[in-house]
Amino acid sequence: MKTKPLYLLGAVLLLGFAGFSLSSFKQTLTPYVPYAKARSGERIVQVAGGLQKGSSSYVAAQESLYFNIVDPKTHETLRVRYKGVKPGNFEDAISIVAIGRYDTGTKVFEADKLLVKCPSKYQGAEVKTYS
Amino acid sequence: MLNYLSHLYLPGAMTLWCAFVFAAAALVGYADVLSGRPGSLQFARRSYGFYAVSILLTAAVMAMLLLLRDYRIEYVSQYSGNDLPTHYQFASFWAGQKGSFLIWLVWGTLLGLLVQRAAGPSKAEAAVMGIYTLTVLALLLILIRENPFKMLPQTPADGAGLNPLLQNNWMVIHPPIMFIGYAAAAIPFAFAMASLWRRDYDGWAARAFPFALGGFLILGTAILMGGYWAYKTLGWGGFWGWDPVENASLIPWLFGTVMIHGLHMERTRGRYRRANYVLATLTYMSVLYGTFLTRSGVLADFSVHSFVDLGISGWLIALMASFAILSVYLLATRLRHVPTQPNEDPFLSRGTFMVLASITLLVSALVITAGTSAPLLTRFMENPGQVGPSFYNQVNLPIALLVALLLSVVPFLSWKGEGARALLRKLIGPSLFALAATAGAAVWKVHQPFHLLFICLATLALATNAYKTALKYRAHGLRGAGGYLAHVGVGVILLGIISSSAYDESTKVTLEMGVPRQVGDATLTFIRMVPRRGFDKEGMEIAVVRHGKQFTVTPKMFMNDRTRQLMVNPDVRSSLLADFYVSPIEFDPGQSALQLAKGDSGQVGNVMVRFAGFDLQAEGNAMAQMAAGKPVVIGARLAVTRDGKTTELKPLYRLNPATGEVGAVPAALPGGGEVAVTGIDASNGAVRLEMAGVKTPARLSIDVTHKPLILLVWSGLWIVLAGGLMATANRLREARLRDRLAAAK
Repeated sequence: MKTKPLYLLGAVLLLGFAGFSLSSFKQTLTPYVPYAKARSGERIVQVAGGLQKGSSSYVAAQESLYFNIVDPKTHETLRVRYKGVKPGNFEDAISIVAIGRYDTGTKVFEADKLLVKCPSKYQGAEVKTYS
Repeated sequence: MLNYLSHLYLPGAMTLWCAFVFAAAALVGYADVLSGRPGSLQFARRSYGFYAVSILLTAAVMAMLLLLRDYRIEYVSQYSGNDLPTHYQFASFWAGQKGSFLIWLVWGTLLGLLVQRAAGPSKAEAAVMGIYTLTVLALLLILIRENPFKMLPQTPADGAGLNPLLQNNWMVIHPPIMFIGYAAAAIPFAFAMASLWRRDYDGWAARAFPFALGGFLILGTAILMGGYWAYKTLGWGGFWGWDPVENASLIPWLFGTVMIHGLHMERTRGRYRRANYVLATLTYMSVLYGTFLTRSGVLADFSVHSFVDLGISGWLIALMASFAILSVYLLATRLRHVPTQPNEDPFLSRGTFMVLASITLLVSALVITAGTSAPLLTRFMENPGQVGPSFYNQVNLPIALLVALLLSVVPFLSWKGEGARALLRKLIGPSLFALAATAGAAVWKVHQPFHLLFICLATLALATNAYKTALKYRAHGLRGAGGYLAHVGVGVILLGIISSSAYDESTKVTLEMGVPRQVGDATLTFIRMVPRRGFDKEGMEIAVVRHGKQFTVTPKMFMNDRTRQLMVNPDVRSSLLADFYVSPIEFDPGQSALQLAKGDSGQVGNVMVRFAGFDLQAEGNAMAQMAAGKPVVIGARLAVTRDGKTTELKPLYRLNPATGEVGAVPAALPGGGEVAVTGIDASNGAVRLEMAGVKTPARLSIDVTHKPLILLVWSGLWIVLAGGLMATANRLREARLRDRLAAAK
């Protein structure tokens, strides 16, 4: 059996797959951005900040959690809405990472996923939320 | 120096140092054997034995300190606490960075004793054990540097306690099993490197094979447990989230899977001889790399359960670099001398298909590695980022399709090769079965073409391998059927993954206590709060009626006393066809109080209240009373609406500025109950009202998910592991036969 064409086919398939993975990688990459950039609402990004004390409320009718995060450097705030379970250690969070997209209509950052960092006396000890 | 010593718990620290000395002595001994003095082997073995005893003593000291709750030790005070039950104190052992390195080291050391017995003749043993000892020594150095026996300047009265998230029976068994798998990855690596070092290219594969299989089995079991833990108790909503820590165990497992197939090919067919060196290296290096990613803090902003930087990144990089240099040097200089056979397999042969499947799995492992490394890869870009689960799902879908296709065909291929027509004829029966299953899925609700193809191929793989397993079983009994059985399991897992994650239905609802509510095909009623009893935390009892069957689920939501963390445990009602998964989101205990500013309205139960303002002339002039320092009486003008009728009410509030005494005169509500003023916020002009006889009912928000066929994921993995176990037993039997033959000669 001639193996040359088969190798060629294999190489083409591998290259094709490499291209596919790379584009998928670029597409799904969620970059960390400053709030100003997130407000353009162009793509899914992640933003980080501290929880503004007293800003969180759970709206049962919408089954959503609303809160503000504050940029530790610029002190800018961003309103975030998260449809889902309020993470366990939420009120004690020192830093919250929200992954999602800014809705330019409602002017709220719609988070699909939250990572909550706690004052970590426990290593590797945070609550995970899948969406 | 003395100052440094005074901050260490000496019995523990000394055993660590002794271990280091004995390990170094063992290395010297092995080197001596390799340079032509076989007499030193006894010395090396004995040193390794003493080393192993020292490590076991170290672990025993640590366990004892934890059990005694000796809070002088920093590690104990960080992970144990007065109220921690005994079985969780074992979990404290590996709850932290240092302890998890220690348990890894313990397993590595013990496995070394097995490696010693299986490594072969004295020179081979010295080389294999020499390299293996280097791998455990690396862990030992990290522990000596990050000494777990560091003492605190002051002894606290209580420890910080174990993270409530980790107070779980899975935490007691999952991590130690995971670390056996990690430790085992070093064994094939040691065999491979020793073989290259000694330029003895034969026989290592057969000796390393049982260890590679064992490591694959144990790591697989740990991954299964981790997924089950995440699903059943942590309430992550799924069994796999593509988190870096999860990936760090999956990647070595995938490399290990390719490696066991490669070793099998080398042992039986003399193929893959060069590739196996690379595969053993990749498997071990991926363990080190995963450890680096999750322990160095490079992912601290990206993963939820990644460890924070403890200042060992430099060490981990040095460790990876040294083993990388060693292996790349050996591979670069020796690999081309490894004799190989020319590839004469025809395309439609088992050999070719195994190569294709191996490449496919390698590609999968590599893209998962790339995805997990995204924060590192994009570190120098303007906005570093990470990739989400959708990346892994997208790229692994075609991979899974291809794997299923290859697996479907392999059982009907021989080493010699097959005619296309004969092959197709054999595939007719299983294909009809697969098409029937696909049609069934389409009737059910799968309409996405890729998903239909996925189901078709997965079912085909299941069918052909099940057929072959049955044939093998009838011919040779359990022996020899392991590999095919494992492939049946892969088909089952793929079916479970697609049905439970692409066709699950999730609804978020808020239940009012006692009021039934329809959710999909089920009726849910929030019955009551179940109070805390012993270690059982408070839960919410929900009665469910579904398809005429009645059952209750009790998901839990509770505050951890120590950390005030709100914890959530879902409850899952499993059945053969689907899981009914209920996770609490928010609990509102119900209220009978209102805080209203002037002009605001609020509602309690069916009573609507509007606060029109204060009445300062309720009993004399309040301002004058205040100025005179006399008791003040203030009224609150309320418009109360109930059952469509509005009534004006004026409950009173008394305050004696001299004594600070307060009192209220409630007003009766039309239709029963009363309302009282319990506080006044003068600066905001707000009033606090408390109702009696009226209450907003308790509400519970939950997430109800219907996960079809998720049982297939767990059972498929069990089938894979059972197949692997059968194969391992078979290999061990062969190894014993081989040794007996060698002894007879």
